[in-house]
Amino acid sequence: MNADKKIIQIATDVLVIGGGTAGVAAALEVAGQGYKVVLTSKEDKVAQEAKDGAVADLTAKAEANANIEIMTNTVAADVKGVPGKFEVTLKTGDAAVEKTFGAIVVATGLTTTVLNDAYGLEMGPKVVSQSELEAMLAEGKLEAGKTVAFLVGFGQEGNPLVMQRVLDSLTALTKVADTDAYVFVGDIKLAADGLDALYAQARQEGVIYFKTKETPQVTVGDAMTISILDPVLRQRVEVQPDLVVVEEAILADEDNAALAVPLEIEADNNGFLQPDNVHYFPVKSTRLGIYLAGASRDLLSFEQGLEDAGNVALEVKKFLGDGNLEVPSNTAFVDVDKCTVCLTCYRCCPHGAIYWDSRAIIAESACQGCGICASECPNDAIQLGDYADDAMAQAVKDGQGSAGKSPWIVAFCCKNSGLEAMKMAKAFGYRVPAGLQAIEVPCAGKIDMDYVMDAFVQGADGVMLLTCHNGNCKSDKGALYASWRAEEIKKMLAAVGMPEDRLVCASLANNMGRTFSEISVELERSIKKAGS
Amino acid sequence: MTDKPKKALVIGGGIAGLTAAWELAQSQVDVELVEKSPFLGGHSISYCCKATDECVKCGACSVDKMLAQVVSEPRINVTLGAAVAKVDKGGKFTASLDVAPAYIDAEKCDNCGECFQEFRNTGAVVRGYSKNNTPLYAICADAAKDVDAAKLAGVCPKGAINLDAKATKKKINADTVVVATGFTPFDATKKPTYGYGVRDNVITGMELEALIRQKGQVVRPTDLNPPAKTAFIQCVGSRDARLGNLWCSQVCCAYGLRMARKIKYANPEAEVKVFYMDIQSIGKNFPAFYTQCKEELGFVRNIPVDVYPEEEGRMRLSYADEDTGERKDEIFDLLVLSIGITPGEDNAQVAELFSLDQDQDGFLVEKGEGVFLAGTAAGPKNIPASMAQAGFAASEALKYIGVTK
Amino acid sequence: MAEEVIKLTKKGGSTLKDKVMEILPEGGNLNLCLTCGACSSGCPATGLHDMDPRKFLRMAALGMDEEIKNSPWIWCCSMCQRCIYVCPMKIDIPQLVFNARKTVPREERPKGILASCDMALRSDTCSAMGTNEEDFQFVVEDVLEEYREAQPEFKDMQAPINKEGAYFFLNQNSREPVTEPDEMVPLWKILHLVGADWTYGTKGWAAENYCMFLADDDAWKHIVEVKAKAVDDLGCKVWLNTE
Repeated sequence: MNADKKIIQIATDVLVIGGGTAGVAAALEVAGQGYKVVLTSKEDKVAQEAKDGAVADLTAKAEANANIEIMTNTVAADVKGVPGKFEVTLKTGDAAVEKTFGAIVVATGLTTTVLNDAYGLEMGPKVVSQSELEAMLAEGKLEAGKTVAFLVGFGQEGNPLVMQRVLDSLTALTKVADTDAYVFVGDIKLAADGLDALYAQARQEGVIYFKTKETPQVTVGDAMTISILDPVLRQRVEVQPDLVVVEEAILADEDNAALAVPLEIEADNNGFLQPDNVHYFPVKSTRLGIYLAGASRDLLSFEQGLEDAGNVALEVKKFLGDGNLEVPSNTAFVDVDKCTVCLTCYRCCPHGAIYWDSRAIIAESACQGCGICASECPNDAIQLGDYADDAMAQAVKDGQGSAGKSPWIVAFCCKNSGLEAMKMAKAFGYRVPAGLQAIEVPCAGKIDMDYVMDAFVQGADGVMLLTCHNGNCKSDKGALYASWRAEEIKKMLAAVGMPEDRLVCASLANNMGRTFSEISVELERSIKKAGS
Repeated sequence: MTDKPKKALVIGGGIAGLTAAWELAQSQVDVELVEKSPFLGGHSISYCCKATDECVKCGACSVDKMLAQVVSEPRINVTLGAAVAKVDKGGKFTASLDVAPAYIDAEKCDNCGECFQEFRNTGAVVRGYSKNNTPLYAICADAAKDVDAAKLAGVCPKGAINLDAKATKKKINADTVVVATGFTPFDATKKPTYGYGVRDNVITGMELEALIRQKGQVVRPTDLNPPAKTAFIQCVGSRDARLGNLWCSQVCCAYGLRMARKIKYANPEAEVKVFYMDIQSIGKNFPAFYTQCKEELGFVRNIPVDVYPEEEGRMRLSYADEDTGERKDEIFDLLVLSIGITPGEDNAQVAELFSLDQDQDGFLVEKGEGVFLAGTAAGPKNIPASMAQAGFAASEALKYIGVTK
Repeated sequence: MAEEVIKLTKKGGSTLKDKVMEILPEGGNLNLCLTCGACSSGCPATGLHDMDPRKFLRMAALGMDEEIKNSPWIWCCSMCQRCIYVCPMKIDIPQLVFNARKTVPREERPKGILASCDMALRSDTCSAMGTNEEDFQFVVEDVLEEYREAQPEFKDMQAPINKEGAYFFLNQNSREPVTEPDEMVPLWKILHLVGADWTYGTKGWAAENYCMFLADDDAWKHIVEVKAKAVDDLGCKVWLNTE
């Protein structure tokens, strides 16, 4: 299939959504690679929050860059088309323009919410949020001689970004004369550069930390009290603060959910636009041509946002190149005569690669070759380049020779995990059954139920489906599809009186050669035992 | 694109160096990747998959994947067993390398492993952690002195072993440099009361990683049985001003808790206790993960100090009970020290060679032009963060040498 | 005790901890506690009187000076310094304990320690047991004689007293000549076997210094001076104190 390399022309302009530091930095990096960039900000300016003067510098550079067009007060109202040719409607006020982009970078920001409910507290002049305290300190409004208490880590698990804000405030606060500071905290979250030293500095200044598992009880009135059972003293301690500072959660941008739909990308369960899956590190989304910088993908620091910008530029370049995209041999294609436009494929495609126009169409620039659609299509209307059904059937047939080294075990191996684990087992001399025949699939989601049944029909004594671990599938749900299909097949085996343990569906990582050996030897053992 | 390909020198073949090399090669830059050990992959290639029924995002699999990509990338030339002796900069970088003798001829070796089978117990032949290491085996010169040389040379059916191989010198010219020399794991003998190096069932977190990778499960070093009761002590060598290590290593809570849960997953009857001062949030779904941990594992906010030997390779840990404040003794089958990340032991030399600075803790800081840092050489980092910084270093290097689309 | 609520008031900067920080290099790092508990895990006095070093330090940090003063635990500490050795922040808890002892009026300090210090002050032997010069000399010579006879391999062993110009001046815990005289012998044997040139002194021979444990600086100093003078008077080079 596709013996000749197929080249398609794609657009090379890049849209960067989000005028925060990561967005401005990404625009600069992408423009630096020679692409034209449109940078949109929903605000009336870009990157306004100051951080060591570095931001102002970035913004000035972006404004001066001839390859960057900055559109403020602008949102991406709609996105259509496919990777390499996204048709985006940009709205500035009531005015809308349509532009074509080859790639899109999302660099939305973070939002905060104060967690006073966790403590049953009403906000007021003596009960302030972390943000309000920061403003007070910046404006020099904290009076001398006060006792200030921080509540952090009971409304949320917390993270270094949250803790850094508290520590920075403590540094400023201990400079105000005769201030006593107490921090009521679950765990001090310091897993970021420089935070342990900052924590030590605040302790040196006399800040006292109560680390406790129970949420502090706070009574508000003329005299406020905070009461906790101190695990160090094993006694109840009461502090009477003049000011209580309530923690804030740092959360994904509220715009993310609305953006994910037209961009056809998967968000994680916290509203960030990158699933929690190592294959997307650092800046990939589930869809080709769409990349994520900074806080759009995770809770990240300013510095990490800048790093992302560099990585985004690399990914954009890898995808867009000079505008001539070489279509990989292993993409799915639809037999138009068989397609009934049921759109199962559209629904199950994890990569936003399928659209329709009287028939389902697979965008060659977007297909990542997992084959889930091909295996799910109820009418077998989709074939996957290097792994077409006839080739797979032939592969099973070719393995019948293994039957000589009975038992014959057909192992359908995801090439990212199971296949690598098998190679490792062999390289390290771990035992692998002599009659084991490995058949490579691009993703466990490409293991058709038909292939498995066919293997049994051809005389296989056992079949293995070796998938990635859930949450590690490069195509998100391929491993899940495989495990669901395995359950169905087991029912069918039971119906025809075949022992269901002849089918093994297991998840592995590429570095689990030992486990590959154990699983396959165990199957061989159970087949032999049943046969004897 | 420029006519003649630019060339980058990447120092260090761990996950950061591999990633930087790979990304540079994707931009049509020729890469010389230099690694001092006989294998690519650095520390992280020995790490295990920590998945239970689902992936826990440790990233160990990413290292194998990146290693496989790098060794099959024609633009990347790898030199193993090489140390940088000198660097000249006059517009370009010229690095002089001292390359250790190649006792195993990579062209002839087919990774059959016979040398390893025969000599593994002597330490004369060592095996890499990844099948993507080529060769997968190396001769350890020191240990090889104590074995019958003729027998060792003769064990290879392909005649790939040449014990007379000589050290060589090599010069590399490059337009830019990425330094990814990694970290030195904390030496747990510096906390002598834990008995590391004295008691066989006191191991480091890194050793547990390698153990799981090799055995497929958690077993005690002494009897290879799954431990019924395991203790993890966190922050060993981290957050310690006495040792001059006043930083959180940013990886130990993650690997400690992930492996602790893996023990429970494999054997729900097993008991695991984690001794800690603060549990660090690592990864996207940490709150949910930690909730599960709290259901399955015991947590004690108290760092034990004394480890006493008991029968059958067990150890008695002494600590102050949180609830009563009294001294408590508890017996464990396996003790895991969650050791931290410390600056590379040759950082001062690396800084000197490549005109880098060192921060107050001893990690490297960029200074000179054209030299970029990636990974734990620059400070504690996990695998994903090392990869992200390596990508960034590659992008900075590309800008420096003027490679664009 | 456990149910009593501790109500914190404005710190004000004149607590025991503040004062101790002023006199110690780096303030003894007393503010730097991570509450990791290593000190408590390693302390032989953990759990006595519902106290441990971590709790003690926390009480000091919270200005609970009165409770500290009244805690018998401050007299349980043996000043072994293990807490500092295992502390990642090198916090000088023993100095805090020592200074906490000073906050107790001398006459209210534990009778055993007080009486031992006072007894030592009564003579130049510095013996907390009150053993005088003659008795000490008699016991040493008697025990030496016994061992020389019973163990021929040590027939030449010496236990010199007031030997001028000896290289080592050896101290001896007072308890041993009185209650466990045999306990003195192992060290003699070692010194004999290595050929050390050593001596006891009839003055300043007692090794212990209860005045230090009593936190009586003047008395502590006096005891040390008496012993040092004894060493100097015999012209010894090295003072071996086994306490």
